Amino acid sequence: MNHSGRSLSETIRAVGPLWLTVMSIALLAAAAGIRGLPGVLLVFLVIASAVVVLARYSGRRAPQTTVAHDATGGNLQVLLRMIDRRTAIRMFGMSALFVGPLGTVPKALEILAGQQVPEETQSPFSRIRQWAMIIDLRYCDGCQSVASPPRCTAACVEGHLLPEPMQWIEVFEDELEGEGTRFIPIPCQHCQNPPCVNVCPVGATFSAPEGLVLIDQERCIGCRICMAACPYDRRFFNWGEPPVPPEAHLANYNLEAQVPALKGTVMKCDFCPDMVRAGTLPYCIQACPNQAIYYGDLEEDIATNGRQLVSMAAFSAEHNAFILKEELGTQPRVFYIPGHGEAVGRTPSRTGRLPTVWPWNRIAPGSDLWSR
Amino acid sequence: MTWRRLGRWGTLAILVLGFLLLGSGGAFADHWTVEVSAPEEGALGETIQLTATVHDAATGEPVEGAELVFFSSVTFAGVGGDIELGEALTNDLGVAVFDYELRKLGTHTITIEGGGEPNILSFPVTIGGQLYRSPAGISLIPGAGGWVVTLVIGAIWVIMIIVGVSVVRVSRGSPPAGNEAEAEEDERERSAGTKWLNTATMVTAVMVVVAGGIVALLIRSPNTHHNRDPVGYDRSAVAFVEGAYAYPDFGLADDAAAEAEIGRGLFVTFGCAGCHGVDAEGTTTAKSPASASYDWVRQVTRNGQPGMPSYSEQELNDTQLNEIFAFLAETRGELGG
Amino acid sequence: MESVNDWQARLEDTTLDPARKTTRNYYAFLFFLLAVTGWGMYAYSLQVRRGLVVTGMSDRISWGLYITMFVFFIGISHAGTLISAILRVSHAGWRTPVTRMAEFITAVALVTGAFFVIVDLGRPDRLINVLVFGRWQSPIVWDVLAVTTYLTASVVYLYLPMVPDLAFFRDRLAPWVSRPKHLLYRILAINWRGTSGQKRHLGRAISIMMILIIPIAVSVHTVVSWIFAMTLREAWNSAIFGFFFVAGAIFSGIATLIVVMAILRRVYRLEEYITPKHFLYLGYLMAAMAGVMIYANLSEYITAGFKFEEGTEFLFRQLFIDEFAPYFWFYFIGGLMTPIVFMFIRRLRTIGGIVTAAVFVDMGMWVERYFIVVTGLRAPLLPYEPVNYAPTWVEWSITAGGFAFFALLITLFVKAFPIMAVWEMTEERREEFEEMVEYEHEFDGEDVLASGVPDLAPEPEGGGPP
Repeated sequence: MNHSGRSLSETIRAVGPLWLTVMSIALLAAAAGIRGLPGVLLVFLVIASAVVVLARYSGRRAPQTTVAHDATGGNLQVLLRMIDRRTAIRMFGMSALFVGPLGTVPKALEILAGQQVPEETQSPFSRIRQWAMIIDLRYCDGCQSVASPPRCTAACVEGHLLPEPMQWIEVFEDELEGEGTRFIPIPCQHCQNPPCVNVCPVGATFSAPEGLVLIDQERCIGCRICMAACPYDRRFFNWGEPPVPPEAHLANYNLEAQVPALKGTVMKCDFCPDMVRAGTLPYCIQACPNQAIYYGDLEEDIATNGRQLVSMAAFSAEHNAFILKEELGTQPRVFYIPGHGEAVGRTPSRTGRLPTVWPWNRIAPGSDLWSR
Repeated sequence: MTWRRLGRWGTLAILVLGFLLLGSGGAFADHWTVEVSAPEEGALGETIQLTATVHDAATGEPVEGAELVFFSSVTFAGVGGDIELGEALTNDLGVAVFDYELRKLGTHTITIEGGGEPNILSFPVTIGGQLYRSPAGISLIPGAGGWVVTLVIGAIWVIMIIVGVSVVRVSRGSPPAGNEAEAEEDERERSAGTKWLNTATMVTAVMVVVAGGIVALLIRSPNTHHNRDPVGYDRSAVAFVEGAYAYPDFGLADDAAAEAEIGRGLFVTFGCAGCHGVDAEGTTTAKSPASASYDWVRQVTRNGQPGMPSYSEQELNDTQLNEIFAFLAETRGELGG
Repeated sequence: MESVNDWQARLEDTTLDPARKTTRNYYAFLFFLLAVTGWGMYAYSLQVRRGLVVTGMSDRISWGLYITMFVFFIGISHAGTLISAILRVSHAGWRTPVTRMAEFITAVALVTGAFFVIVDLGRPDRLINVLVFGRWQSPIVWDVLAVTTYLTASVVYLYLPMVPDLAFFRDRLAPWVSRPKHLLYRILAINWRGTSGQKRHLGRAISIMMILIIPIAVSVHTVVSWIFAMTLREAWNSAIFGFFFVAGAIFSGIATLIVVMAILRRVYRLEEYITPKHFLYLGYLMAAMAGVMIYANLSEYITAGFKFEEGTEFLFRQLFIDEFAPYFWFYFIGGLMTPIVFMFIRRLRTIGGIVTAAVFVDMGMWVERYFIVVTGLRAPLLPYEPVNYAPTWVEWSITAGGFAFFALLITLFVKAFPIMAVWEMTEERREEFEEMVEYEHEFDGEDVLASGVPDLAPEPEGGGPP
């Protein structure tokens, strides 16, 4: 039998390992992002060089008519002796059959699954808002001056129909160096390097183009790794049937309103995206009696607390704004101006604030209550 | 001659009038003239210079060390007013230069105070795109990590599938290629009846399916570290600077029977309950609308108010408005008027 | 002097015993395990209906007993890797009798561990989201991939050397077992006839798997540790978590193997094959791993304690002095020092002593998983008072159900599958025998064979009659 007329199955078995190597090169090329035509060309180039080298090394020698060992996993010498030009061309051709379409596999899978990667938004508008907050602690006294539980928290609870005991924006009392305390309202920081988003296994929490971190409670599986990852304690879990007013169940759940809360999922402050897009301010900004919280847009560099307007960059810089836990590198969108309520007449020694209440007259039947 | 004509009272009147004229017009600015200038137009993101030249009105000499305050007129989230941009002092030539970064598209209106009457500059900014880019979602080589994971896991599973194939070979009892003596013996064994559909093949098939599922998971996975623009989400809209949006209605989940019942539902789904309370009883953010008249409710809802968005005919039609009012009337009755 | 075939016949008899006869004790034990597992499932059904509010977890301590059990069982699963793979690669012949049990434990522990992750989910009905929407950047997805791969690999690795034994069950057990069971053996034995071709393929498959499974196993517990280490919690933000968890896994795996080995040895009279030597060697390995664990713990605490950064004081206080002190010191003294002490003191170096040490190690390691999870979450992130975590009866029930399920699977396995690796042990015995024959040829005339079965404590040359 003519040595170059080796059967196809023999050829396959002979060049098996080498073919696997070629495939790995192809995959690596695809992995490096070189897909489609450039990828095919690259792999052809690699194969062609390999074929040329091998042909020069062994092509002119007469190949053996019998094979002493099992070539699959056999030694390289035998292998090389088996590669004549015909075999090389067959190998080349076979690889082309498989390598070429390889680069299109991911795209094909995406199309098959019906999930197209979103194209750039076709919109006449070009500038996306970049929401941020500035909280002026010189004006925050924990609502001591109005003798009520903190109103920012109360408005948020009422506005989002929060189940007890969630406080998305929570007013903490922090000890100052020296004597006394200060009040510091802490909403979700909407980090630009969010630890919660990085660890979510199903992508239920995500970074929106406006810079907000949102949660889709209809995708959340309730594994709570995001709660372990958040360094600011700003994520809350619906341990049981959430104790919300029955009216909440009249609404269709939407991830920008988060009404009603769904059992077994995670929730948090969302910077009220539905409201600010419609041109009003979030609940907490509207409710603060001292107008201590500013809501703004980093794109236009403007912020307001409901009464005054400021330039975000100038305002923060002028008053030496800081961010929480800067050393962690989370890059939050909430800036704090240091103070302890002095602008509304509070001295640091006046400690204590009233506890938050959840004012529902009636809660949905079957609800549970839990503690933080 | 003039003085004798005016007389004592006339002179006094002129002197008083003179002092009044001198005293008016501000503390230091009564004798200054201020000329302000700005470029014709600017591009977004550019830092332009606003110059103001102050001369003494009487002598025409440049005034040094005069303080001028610059304001910009803006509107944001329903609040309109002036932002204080900063101050500038004039130099020995009487020129004050203020660096101003253009962050807004449209007409900029700059007010400069400190030179008597406030001077107003106005110029358009029409060119420009996104200025602030969030660091979220940026990775070094997009998707590279995913491919590395896919390759490693893929390699391991390929090896396991090869093992599976070896086990299939065991079940078929096929000899390794090229060994003549063994082949004869196994040929005898083979005729004893082997079937393709045995455990080993099925197990290998299962492994192939599982491996395929894993690879599919990895390939479909979103590529950005921070899950930006995630696949499969239906967000109603992104907030654009230039856009004007309605407050979205998220829809009633159930069909409620009576008008007031529907109104109660709409009160929640349109976001009214957020500020006004589920029972329209009022909250920290907004007062109770229960005691308001129909006309007042209609007017405020259609036109909006500071702190309250407006709902046009298309967003909240008259039928729905009536239903909400029916709910408010019922609540008013419950609250006792 | 007994020939290899006689020896093999005796081994086969011992191995067939559990499959042939079932005692009343066995049924009683099985019933007990089923009862506990059933109670655990009832508790879980309550949890599914009402949500995780029935547990003692809260927003501030959002993981508890379930994650502890998950980490613990994935850790135990490393028993198989060490014994079967690492020791096989290093040609340690003594491990062959225990290799089957080790691989059982691995597969069963992985199943139980994976089950506990699902128990911990708030929305288990959405489990499919992990497959459909999975993000490869997430430590949980790494975990899913690694555990799936390891489970498949360990089941394959359990199955491969068992094929000849299943064939022998198929051939010999027909009179004692029901038809479905016999059919099962026939299917699983995949036509094994013992031909050299089949042996070659099987041998190669086993060789590939034994090398492949080591990096898979290391990666599994590393990614489990990264579920904690990829967060910003101070107690977890440590670079050595991966190594620390893998060492702990191997450690607890050996201990579990010792315990299971001791039980099965007593119940099925395997004293001839599982000798005190096995306990001794495993005991030494366990003590060595205890040393590694002590080193790892000291590294972490000394480096943190020297610097005493913000937050370290709270962590040290709660762990060494206040609320969790009993747990930590039980783990350190009972779990880490006990095995070393027991292996040093000659009088305690008995089977009973080593098994006791192993029990302490298992308990200590469970406690260690518990306080790693809870103390890590308990340190306050903001100015609030730390909360406490107390598991409820639902959590304890499901935990007990998990342990019972683990024991139940092993109990059922032991009844259905060969507990001794007959084929491997016989092959090894044959090799040793052939070595002895060669040895005899070298020393012409010396009747070495008559001097008895070769073992690791060889008798003097030309020794007495067998």
